[in-house]
Amino acid sequence: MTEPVRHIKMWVTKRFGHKTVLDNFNLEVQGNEFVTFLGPSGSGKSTALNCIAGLIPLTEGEIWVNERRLDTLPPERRGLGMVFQNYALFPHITVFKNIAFGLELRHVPDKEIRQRVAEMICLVQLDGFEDRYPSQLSGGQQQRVAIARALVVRPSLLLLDEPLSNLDAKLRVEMRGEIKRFHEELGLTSVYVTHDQSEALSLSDRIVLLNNGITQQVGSPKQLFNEPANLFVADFMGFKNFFPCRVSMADGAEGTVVERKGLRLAVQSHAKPSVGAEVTAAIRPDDVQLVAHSEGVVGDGPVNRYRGEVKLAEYLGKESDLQVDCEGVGKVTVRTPEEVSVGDWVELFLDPKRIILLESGPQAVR
Amino acid sequence: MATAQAQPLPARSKPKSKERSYDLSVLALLLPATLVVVVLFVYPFVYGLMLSFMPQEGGISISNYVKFLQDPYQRESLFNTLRLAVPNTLVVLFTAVPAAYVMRRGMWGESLITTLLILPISLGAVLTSEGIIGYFGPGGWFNQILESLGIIKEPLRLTHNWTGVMIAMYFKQFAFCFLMLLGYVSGINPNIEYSARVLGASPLEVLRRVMLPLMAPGIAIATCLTFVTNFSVFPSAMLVGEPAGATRSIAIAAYQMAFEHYDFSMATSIAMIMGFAELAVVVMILGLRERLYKGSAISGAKG
Repeated sequence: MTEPVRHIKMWVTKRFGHKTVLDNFNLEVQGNEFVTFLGPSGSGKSTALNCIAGLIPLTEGEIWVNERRLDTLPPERRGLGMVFQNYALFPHITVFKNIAFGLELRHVPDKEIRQRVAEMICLVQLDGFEDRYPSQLSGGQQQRVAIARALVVRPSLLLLDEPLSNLDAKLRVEMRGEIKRFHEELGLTSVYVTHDQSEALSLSDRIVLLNNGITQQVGSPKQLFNEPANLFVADFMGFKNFFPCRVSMADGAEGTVVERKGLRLAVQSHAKPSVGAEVTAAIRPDDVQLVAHSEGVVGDGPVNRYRGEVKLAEYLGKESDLQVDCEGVGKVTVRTPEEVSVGDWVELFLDPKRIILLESGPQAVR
Repeated sequence: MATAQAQPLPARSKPKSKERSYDLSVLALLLPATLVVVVLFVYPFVYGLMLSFMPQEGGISISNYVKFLQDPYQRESLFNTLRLAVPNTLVVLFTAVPAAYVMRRGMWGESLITTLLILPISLGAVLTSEGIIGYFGPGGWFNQILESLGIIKEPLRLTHNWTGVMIAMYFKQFAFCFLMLLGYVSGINPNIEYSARVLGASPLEVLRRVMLPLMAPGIAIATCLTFVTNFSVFPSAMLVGEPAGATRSIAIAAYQMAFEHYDFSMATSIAMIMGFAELAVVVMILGLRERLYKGSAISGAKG
């Protein structure tokens, strides 16, 4: 039941009535991998996880772990560990009993139960809390118990369903590190569900980004962050500025040049679209540079320089997010450490190396 | 208190004074409710208790209680009531608990079922009793159907006896108990159940190890309320029962004493006996729950 995972193979379609919540979800996971299902709410990421756990029956598909078919087994015979968003501890029994629950069901001898629970309590650093009831613990402690309860049975695969969403920001970062530590120390294979891109980026070996039940991109955090496959992925990974354009020059002296009325951008990207193609140029707010700012009007600059008026400034502490209204270009979101006030005129530089080109397809987000 | 706050106090005693002013405002909020309880419950109860020790013959004595317990006719009303209330509570419980458990995640047509169940409660005992007499009576549909199917030769006697009262009480109490339990069970976080499943518990083990202990407080309260309502059975016992015989419940005995014999002192004594019998059973049920699932009251149902 607890043989190590060498590979997981699944293809799953799930419909509720006429609504397809998971459309031919195809995935292979290697042993010891940390895979994250990322997406907004309603994207099907939790459905995919619940299908693996056996809490939701598949409409079509198969799930295989090594040479064992999983989807035909009831949840209690899949030998998995699962951690829920709201902890889902048993409120009527103590921390010790909660952690021992899975072992008791497996008829592990008492002596071994005590030893293994003690090991887990040590691992999640809850020494001295054995006899408390869940309601006497803080959120972070409850989640540690939930993790210990899932890990004590030495599951072949650990499933985590937004385990950090109920915790405050500081604790979330701390527990994120802990989860990574458990994964590595115990040599686990983990599938993690979240809507938080920073969690996904920091934890995962691989990310599966979902939207409306359809897989948008599968890749390493770096791939998703730097080379989003489409507009949706780009939007989700923090590109805020999108400029629909037409390619006017491919691979010239300035690289690729895209244009539309009032806007001309030079781009040095991996994508080599042909002249005349409809594309969307995208850039992150922190990749837009503030060249200079003054209260007067700044003269026209060379390549990729635009001037505009600051319409909105959102103070974030170290940095500020600005909404700059550039003539002909429209609104550009900029993240800058400089202090700028609403009404100021600024000049922006859109770094050609940091602009990506995406197909303006039917999946365009705006 | 104003002086206490003005003085430089050690840090520890500060919240104490705050707490006290908080207590006072709470008391003010409790006043209307307290008044209602005192006027409508405490005073009549104490008055009744005192009245029960002042028999019509005069003096202060426990002769009313002795008389009730020594008179086989009166004493029988207590057992009549128990013979109705105990089996009915058990039957209601053993049908309502599984029904509520099965429906805990909702099901198709749930609102229709709920509406149908609320009807007997909202229509009142008199109307439902009339309906039961018509439907289960010797010439009613129920007997006619059974006869036409050849299951019985003679019509079954289902009304104006113990069975009739059981049927009438069941309709009302099942709905009441089921709805109360459904609210309780569906309030339990489903992930608690799911996590037990993933940890290796079969549906039966989930029920035994997790759901029953979590449901225990709700079941205990539902049992108490069902029993107490059953114990004070009056309209059904009169209308579909045999109020001169097998279903002469203790409530009927008290009623007759008060409004047929005009012995209010004796009537209150009977009411007191009724009250203490109910209290004894409630204490027993809650004690049983405590013994079966120690500590399960902690933190309620929501994770």
